[in-house]
Amino acid sequence: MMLTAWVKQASQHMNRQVDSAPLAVLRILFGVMMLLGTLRFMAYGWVNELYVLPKYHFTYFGFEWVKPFGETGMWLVFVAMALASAFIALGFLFRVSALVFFLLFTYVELIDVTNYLNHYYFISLCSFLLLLSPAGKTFSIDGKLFPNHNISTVPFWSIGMFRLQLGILYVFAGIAKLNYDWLILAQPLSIWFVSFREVTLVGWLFQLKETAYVFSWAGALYDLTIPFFLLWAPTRIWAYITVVGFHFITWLMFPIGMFPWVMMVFTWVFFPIAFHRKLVDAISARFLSVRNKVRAPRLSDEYSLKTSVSASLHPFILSLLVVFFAVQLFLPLRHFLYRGNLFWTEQGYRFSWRVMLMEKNGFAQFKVRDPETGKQWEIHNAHYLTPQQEKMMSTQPDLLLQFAHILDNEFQSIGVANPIVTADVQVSLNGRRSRPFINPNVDLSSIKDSWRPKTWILPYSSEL
Amino acid sequence: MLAIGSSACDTDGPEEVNCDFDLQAMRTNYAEEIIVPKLEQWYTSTQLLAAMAAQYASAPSEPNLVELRIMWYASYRSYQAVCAFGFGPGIINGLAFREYVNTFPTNVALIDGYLTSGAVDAASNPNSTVGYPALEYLIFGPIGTSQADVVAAYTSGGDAASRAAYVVSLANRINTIAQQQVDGWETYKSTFINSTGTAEGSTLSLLVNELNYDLEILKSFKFKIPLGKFNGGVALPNQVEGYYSGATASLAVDQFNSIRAIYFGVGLDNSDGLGLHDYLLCLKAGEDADGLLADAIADKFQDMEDAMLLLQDPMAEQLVTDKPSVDAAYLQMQMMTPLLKREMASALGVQISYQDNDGD
Repeated sequence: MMLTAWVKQASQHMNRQVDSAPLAVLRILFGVMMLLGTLRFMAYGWVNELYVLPKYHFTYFGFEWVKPFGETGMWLVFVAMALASAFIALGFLFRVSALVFFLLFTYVELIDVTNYLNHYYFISLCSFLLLLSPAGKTFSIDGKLFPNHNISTVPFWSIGMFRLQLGILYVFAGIAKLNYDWLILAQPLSIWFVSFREVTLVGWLFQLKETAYVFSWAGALYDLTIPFFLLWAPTRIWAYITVVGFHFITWLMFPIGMFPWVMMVFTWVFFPIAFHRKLVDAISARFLSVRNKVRAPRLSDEYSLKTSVSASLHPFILSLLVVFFAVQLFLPLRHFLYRGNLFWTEQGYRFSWRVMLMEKNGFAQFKVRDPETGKQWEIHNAHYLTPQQEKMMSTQPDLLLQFAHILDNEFQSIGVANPIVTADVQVSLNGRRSRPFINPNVDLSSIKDSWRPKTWILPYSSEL
Repeated sequence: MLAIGSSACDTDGPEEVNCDFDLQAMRTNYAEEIIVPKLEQWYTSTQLLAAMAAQYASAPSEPNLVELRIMWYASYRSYQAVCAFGFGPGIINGLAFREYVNTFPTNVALIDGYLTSGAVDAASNPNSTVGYPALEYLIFGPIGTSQADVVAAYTSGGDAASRAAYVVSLANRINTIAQQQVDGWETYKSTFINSTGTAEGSTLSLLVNELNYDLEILKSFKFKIPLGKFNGGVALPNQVEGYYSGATASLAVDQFNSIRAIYFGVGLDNSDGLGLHDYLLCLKAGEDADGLLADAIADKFQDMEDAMLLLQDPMAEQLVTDKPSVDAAYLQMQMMTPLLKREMASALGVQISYQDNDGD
C-alpha cells in the first residue's frame, strides 16, 4: 500500500504541469552551444583531420559498419549539424531538427573510437532527451506556425530528466575519483601540474605537492555533491558560483574545449522556474514584439503540488526513459564484471564519466611475420595512423586488437597469406614506470574482439 | 617565487618533498653552453669546408681531394651535434634545416643527370640531391672508386666543369644554412630562454620534441631502414648514412653522443649544467622500487653506448657480415624510445607533437 501510494505521488509529481520557460531556455542554450561547437569544429579543420585524412578508423564494438563519407559528405554532415543546432535554438521544425542532430552527432562520434570523449557522449544523451521532450512547442517558431500545438506549460518530467542526467554525470564522475591514485597519490594531477610551474603569480603553488592534493580532493567532493547543492534552494546560488569557478579553472588549465562552458549553462536547469520565466520575458521584450509574445499563466513554484496535473506520461516514453537511465546506471558499473585493474585493462572504461583520471602513455611496436617465408616486418604505426589514433591505440587493448586486424588485412593484400601479428607494448600509468602491457607472443590477428575478458592483457601487479 | 615554493616544503618524508628547480637556468644552459656553441662550431667547420671545396675545384688533385674529404668528415661530425635543433631559426621555409643538409640516401641518378645537364645550383635542387650526402657522393664516387679515379673525373671527365661547380655550390649551400642558424640565434636566444611553460611551441616542448625526433632519426633512418625492418628483414646496406665514405657507424656514434649530451645538459666544453636529466631527478619522476625514471634513462644511454661500441665501419659491410651487432644497437635505441618519448615527455608535461616520418 505504502509503495503504491508513493508511486502515485511520484507519478503526480512528475506529470504535473509547470511553466515551460526552463525547457525553452534549455533548448535555446543547447542549440546555441551546439551551433558554436560545430562551427568551432569546422573552423579548426577537425573535419578533415579526424574524418577525412585518416586512412583507417577504429570502430566501436557492434558498430563496425559505421563508416565516414568522403570529404564533401563529411562537410555536409557538419553543415547539416550546424543548421539543425540553429533550428533547435529557434524551435523551428523542432522534432526533425532534434532527430537530425541526434543522429548526425552520434553518427560522427561512432566513426572513430579514438575521438571518444565523455563530453561527446553527454551531448548525444542530451540531444536524445531533448528529442523526447516538448521543448519545441514553446517559445518557438513552431509554436507560432502551429498555434494549436503551442503550449505554455510542460510536464515536470521533461525538465527533471535533464537534472537527473546531469546528476548521473557528476556523481559517477565523483565516484570514479574515489581511487588510490587520485586520492592518495594525487595523480594524475601532480604530473599535469608540472606544466604550470612558471605561471605568473601562481606558479609557486604548482610546485607544492599539496596543491595537487587540494585539487584532487576538492574535485572529487565537487563532483559527488554539486547536483544536490544545486537542487537545494538554500545552497543553490553558492553551488552555482562553485560550478562557474570549477569549470572556469579547468578551462584555463586543460585543453577541454567547450565542455566547461556547456556545463556552466546546462546547470541552469537546476534554477527555479521564476529565473527562467524572467529570462524568457526579458528576451521577449527585447527581441519580440509584445503582440507576438506567448503569455504563460503564472504558475506557482514547481515544488508545489497545487498545479494542475495533466495526462500521464505515455507508457512508451516512460519505458524508454526507464531503460535509458537504467543503462546509464549499469554502464559505469560494468567494470565489476571483469577482473584486474580497470585503469590498466580499460575493460568497461568508456561511457562511465571517467574524466581526466589517467595519464596513460604507451609505446607499441607491432611485428608481422610470414610463417611461410619467415620474413618479419616491424611496423611504423604512423604509416597507418594519425598521431591521435596512435596515441589512443597504444594504451587501449581493444584498439591494439583492431590495429592488429588492420595490419592482418594489409599484409594479406600484399600476398602474405597468413600473417602472424604480435605487439610489444610498454605502458606507463599515472607517472609510474612503463611495463609490458600485453602478451608479446600472442598472434593478435587470430583473436576476435568480444565482451569476454581479454586474457592476453598482462596483469598489473600494483596497488590501486 | 621559487624560494616560496621551497620554503613551504612540508615534512612528510622524501616522497613529499617539493622540487625546486630553476627552469630559466636550464634554458640558459641549453642556449649558451650547448646550442649556440655547437652551432658556431658547426658554422666554422662549414666555412672551412667551403674553402676546401673551392681549393679542390680550382685545382683538382689527390692532396686537395684528401683535404676536402677530411674537412667534409669533420664538418659532417659537427653537424651531428646540431641536427636536434630544428626549431626557431632551424626552420627554413617550413622545413627543419636538416632536410637541406642531410637527406639520405642521396639520389645518385638525379645528381648524375644534373652533372650532365649542368643544373648545379644546390639552392634550387631537391633535398635528396644536396647536402653532405650529395657532396659525399661527388668526392668519394661509387663504392670502389679510387682517389685517382675520383680526381680524374674532375680533370678529364666530360662533366668535369659541372662536377667542380656542384662541389662548390653544395659546400657553399651548407655554409649558408649554418650561417643562418648562427645569425638567427643571436636574436632567437632570448626568446628561447624566456619562453616558459610546456605548451606546444614553448622551449621545453621544442627541446623534448626535437630530442625525440633526433633519436627517431638515429634509430629509424640510420638503423631500422638499413636493417630491413620495413622490408621483411632483408638488409638494405646502401640506405645507410655515409655509404660512399664508409663513415656510417662513427657518424651514428657522434649523433648518439649529442643526444646524450642534450639530455644531461652537458655543454660543448663538457661542463655539466642543468639539463632534462636534472629536472627529472628533481621531480622524482617515475619513482619505483628500481629507482627513478632519470636513472633508467641514464642506464639505457649506457646500454646504447655499449652496444654501439660493437659497430664497425663501413657499417654497410657489417650489415652483411655481422648483422646481429647492428641489430643489438638498434634494439637499445628501440628500448630507449618509450623512456624518452613517452615517460619523460609525460613527466615533464610535454606533448609529443611532431608527425613521425616513416622514410618513404
